[in-house]
Amino acid sequence: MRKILDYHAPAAPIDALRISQSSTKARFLAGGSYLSREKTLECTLIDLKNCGLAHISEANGNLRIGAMSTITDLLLHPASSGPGKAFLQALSSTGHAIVRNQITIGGSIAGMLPWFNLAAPLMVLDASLLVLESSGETTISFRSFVANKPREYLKNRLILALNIPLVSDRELCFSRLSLTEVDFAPMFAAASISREGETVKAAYVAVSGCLPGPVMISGASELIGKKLSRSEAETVGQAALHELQGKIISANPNFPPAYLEEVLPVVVADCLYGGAN
Amino acid sequence: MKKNLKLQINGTWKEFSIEPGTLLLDLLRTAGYQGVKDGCREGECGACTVHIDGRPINSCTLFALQADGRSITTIEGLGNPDHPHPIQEAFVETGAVQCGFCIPGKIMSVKALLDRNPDPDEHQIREALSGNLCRCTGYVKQIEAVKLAARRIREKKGDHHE
Ligand SMILES: Cc1cc2nc3c(=O)[nH]c(=O)nc-3n(C[C@H](O)[C@H](O)[C@H](O)COP(=O)(O)OP(=O)(O)OC[C@H]3O[C@@H](n4cnc5c(N)ncnc54)[C@H](O)[C@@H]3O)c2cc1C
Ligand code: FES
Ligand code: FES
Repeated sequence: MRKILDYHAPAAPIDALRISQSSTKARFLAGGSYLSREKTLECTLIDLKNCGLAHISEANGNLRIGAMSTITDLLLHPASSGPGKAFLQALSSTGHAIVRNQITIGGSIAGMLPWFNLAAPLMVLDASLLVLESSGETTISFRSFVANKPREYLKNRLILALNIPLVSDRELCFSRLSLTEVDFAPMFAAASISREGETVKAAYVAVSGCLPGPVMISGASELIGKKLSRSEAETVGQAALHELQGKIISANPNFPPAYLEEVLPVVVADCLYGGAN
Repeated sequence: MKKNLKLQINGTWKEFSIEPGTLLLDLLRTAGYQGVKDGCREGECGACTVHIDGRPINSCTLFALQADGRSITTIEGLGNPDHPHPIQEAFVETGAVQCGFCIPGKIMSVKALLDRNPDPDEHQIREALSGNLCRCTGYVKQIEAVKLAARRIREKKGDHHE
């Protein structure tokens, strides 16, 4: 049975953080699409809606997304195409048309649920988070945030914004495995590639969904100095399988782990080759 | 500990005193807006869809206090049997309604779609309705209904493209 002890809607992030520190049972409330469904939730809600965190801007070569911006806000904002078309693809394949009006970027990052569409893209885009803690604002790379166990890291901290560096010669690719367009996907792959002529200068690949958290595939560096071909993409797919074998999990009966292991190399290769060519 | 909130529902400001855990769906239905349907309560089916400041939202996954001070439109704010909205008329005329349970939520999503895109193609209609499930109709007639409603609304506004 859900029990909401109290509700606050402070006007500034610092007040929200103070209230959260005064109660062990406080939870920040963003879109509410997750919290409102937690049947045994017992807490004081700190609604962030008045904290001025719903903003999107492009400045100094970065896309800055306030934590309370919704997926729809992002889809409608012209700056969202900055990281590449695949970023819009990842946004528009999130949930369904109605829930995208509610899901916020901050709530999604804090929850870090397996079906978070942007987890793999944010890894390869070298995104970072602006976070508020008692001593003031601090920045943490998205990759370190993931490595730090997000729930632990966010005790006594509030996500203020997401920052994505806009790099002009970088191509972003994204793919997701699902039965239908609106299904929860059990596997996401994202890649970011920079090339000089046809030669790959830098390559990053990440996989998420079927793992305890998003993971970078170190075998992607094999592409550096080569021309990206289907067979090179398949080699990275095999490297991904080698790195993730035995780690794949799935609660979805349509996609048992053995099947996901089988298709992982294809999803990664399709992402790299299909998305970048 | 009860909390007060004000909502503008279908154009009229109303005040409520509620438990902070009350969902918008339950507040609206208790206040008499029974056109807002109680389906899955998980954000999956869209039967409870209302507009908040013009955008469709699942009222079952929103704490009512999140909507404090905002403008809410329910199906009752669109039309009634004596004065139906063109979208409601089109759904009935094309035979797009069977049991009817999904229809209020669906019509709210269609209204938001046609407000921003008066001439959507089939893909755009399917995408806009991706959060509204129907157990009865197979969707084909509903897509026809949206196209008919769109044409009627455009014609009413004097825009004769077709
Ligand atoms: C039907 C349905 C389908 C969905 N499909 C998808 C999908 O395909 N892909 C996808 O990515 N998501 C999907 N989601 C959304 C996802 O499951 C979560 O519900 C959502 O990401 C939570 O975001 P929110 O803004 O609603 O957060 P809330 O529910 O408000 O909060 C979630 C958590 O984050 C914490 N939090 C919120 N904001 C902050 C902050 N600024 N700093 C620190 N902590 C914070 C909260 O305390 C809470 O623990 C779906 C949701 C539904 C209901
Ligand atoms: S009752 Fe709200 S989405 Fe199903
Ligand atoms: S008409 Fe019965 S659920 Fe849609």
